[in-house]
Amino acid sequence: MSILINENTRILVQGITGNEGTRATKFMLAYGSKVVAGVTPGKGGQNVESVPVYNSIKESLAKHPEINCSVILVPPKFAKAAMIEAIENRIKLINVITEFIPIHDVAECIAKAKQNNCIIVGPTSVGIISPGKCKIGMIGGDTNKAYMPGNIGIISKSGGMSSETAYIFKLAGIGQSTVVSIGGDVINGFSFKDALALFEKDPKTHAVVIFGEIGGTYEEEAAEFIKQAGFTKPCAAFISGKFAEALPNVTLGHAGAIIEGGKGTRESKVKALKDAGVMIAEVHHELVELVKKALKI
Amino acid sequence: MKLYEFEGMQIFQQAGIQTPQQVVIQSIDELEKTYDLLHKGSVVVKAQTLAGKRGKAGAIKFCDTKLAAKNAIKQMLNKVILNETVTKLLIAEKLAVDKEYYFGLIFSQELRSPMLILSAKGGIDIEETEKLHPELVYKFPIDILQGISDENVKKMLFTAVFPEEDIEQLSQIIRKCWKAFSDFDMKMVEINPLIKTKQSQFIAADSVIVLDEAAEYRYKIRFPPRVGIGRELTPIEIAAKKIDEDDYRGVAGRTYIDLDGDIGILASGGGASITCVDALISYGGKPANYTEYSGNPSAEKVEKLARVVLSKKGLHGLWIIGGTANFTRIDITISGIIAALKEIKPKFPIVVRRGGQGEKEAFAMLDQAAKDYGLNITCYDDTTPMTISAKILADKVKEYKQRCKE
Repeated sequence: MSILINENTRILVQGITGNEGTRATKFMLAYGSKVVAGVTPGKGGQNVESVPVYNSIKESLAKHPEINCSVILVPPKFAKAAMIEAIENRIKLINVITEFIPIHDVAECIAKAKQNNCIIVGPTSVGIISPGKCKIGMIGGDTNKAYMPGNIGIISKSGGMSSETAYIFKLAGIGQSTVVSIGGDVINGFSFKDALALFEKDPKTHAVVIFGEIGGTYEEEAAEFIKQAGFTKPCAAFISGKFAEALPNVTLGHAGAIIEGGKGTRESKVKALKDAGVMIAEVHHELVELVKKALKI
Repeated sequence: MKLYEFEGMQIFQQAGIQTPQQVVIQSIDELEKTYDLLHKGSVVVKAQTLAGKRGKAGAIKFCDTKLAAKNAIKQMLNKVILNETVTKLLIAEKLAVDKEYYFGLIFSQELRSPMLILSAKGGIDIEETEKLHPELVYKFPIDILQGISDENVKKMLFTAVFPEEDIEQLSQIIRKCWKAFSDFDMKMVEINPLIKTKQSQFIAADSVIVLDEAAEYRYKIRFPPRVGIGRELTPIEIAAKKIDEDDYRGVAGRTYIDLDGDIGILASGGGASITCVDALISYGGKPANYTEYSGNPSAEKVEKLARVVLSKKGLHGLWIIGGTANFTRIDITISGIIAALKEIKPKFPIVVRRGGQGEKEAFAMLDQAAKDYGLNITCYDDTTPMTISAKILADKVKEYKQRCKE
């Protein structure tokens, strides 16, 4: 099994006629993902890589009611409208690849998605891959060489490092159930905790690897979730940004400190995760040995 | 983008929030013109820095006479305070303080919504207050789809034990701030202190505002660009920044930070670059810089960046490092680096770890350059984890330094 996406995923690409939309569509089709429709307002009737393009999601759903996932690759200015359209049409899984979307727009869309029981993965996600079954977004590019089917779940804030992390495991002969790039924005729709909850229920996932970064509280939130037995399988994490923390920076006023309450630093994340029994890699490639040991491979 | 206090004050004024009578000066001569405008006798002189905790750094001085104000200006203007050369001072009337309140609005990652923070006990020690008396600092999640009604805010103020007689006016200020928070695309706004004067006026006596760079295209007021690292740029950093300004193809040089080590870094991709530098430090290596290029930059741009990195004095190694590129052409970017290397001909060890389109050609070019120009280059493809190459490089540099000594 896998989480979020599998062989039954039927994909709609919002922004399919743009450069990035077309590239992602090629990558997904080449991997065998079922991209059934695309949307670009005003470009209905065209085809991109033989995928029919519609003016609206409503039109595309009329022809392809099986659509259960949307991948958004529109420019940041139009991302809010695209997300709202997907939510209002009750598409359950929305993967936002677009980077640099204003935070007010993101927070609004996430609140709306919650009301309508939709999941937004992203923004600033590079995509999701369940190797051998389906991939959405840009993840893996045109080579997919980092990925192979297996039993490790990977959750990463960094897009590039989701591939690198998968690849060091593949080199050791360990494949992945699903790799999720959740994006590194202050506010995103799908956190480490959300992914852990799904991996817990997936019998094919035997262990999970977290690639975290300094800033924010998602790592601490994941640690708390594990502590409360929301996730019970072996878990290993790497938190990047040790050196960046030592750089001089501009303090963000008191509100940031009050809201994060001492969380957000690498030290706080590592401590919280260790307390929850998560194995911590000091250097990235040590993740492989930690997981091997835990799974007795 | 973090705003200076005086810039934040402009936004408050537009939003209809009362600010002190104040002027911004850039030279001591301007005091003559402005002091009388303030006509209160006592003023506060505040250095305009992006870093906070100015009070404790001596960047805020209360002065009862013009002479004292002059001295304060002399002490601060064009001086380095909190890692920044102060070029502007804000001179404001000294308020007759009755009460100091705290108000803040910020996005909570945990709740994925804005959060209103209130304390009837504001002032410079608000963080301490929060630690020692968390019961005095109240946090309220805000439903971004609903916004905040007058009734809502009044309830919050009541819960946060603000004096009843102040609730009406404070509610108005908070709602104006909420509107500005969304109208101006703020990531956070803070008024500390929000002063109630003895004349029962409510005045924002300071501003901390961070605007969302992602919303720049719809900013209502534009402010000059700034650097976020809390200090002045070094000449090498300025040179690096120029590379991107002159050429739109890909990104190279936009992020360049001088560090005090002896290993030059030419890294690709944000997440990978940070992970790699962390690893290098773990293995005892000391980076001379942090920089990353991405988005398939031209050979010329990467060559310029390589020259900038190699221009640093006292280097003992160079690391050309990146993950498996999805988009960036390895042969093209590496050819730019080689162009710089064959002129500079460094003797120190160079470790390359890279993968992606054109990697075979790139490695062949590197081998050839090593032979032709006597360079000490070792190449690894993506079957060697990036962070393993950190250890290899750190060891080689150690050995090289040892040999230099002998």
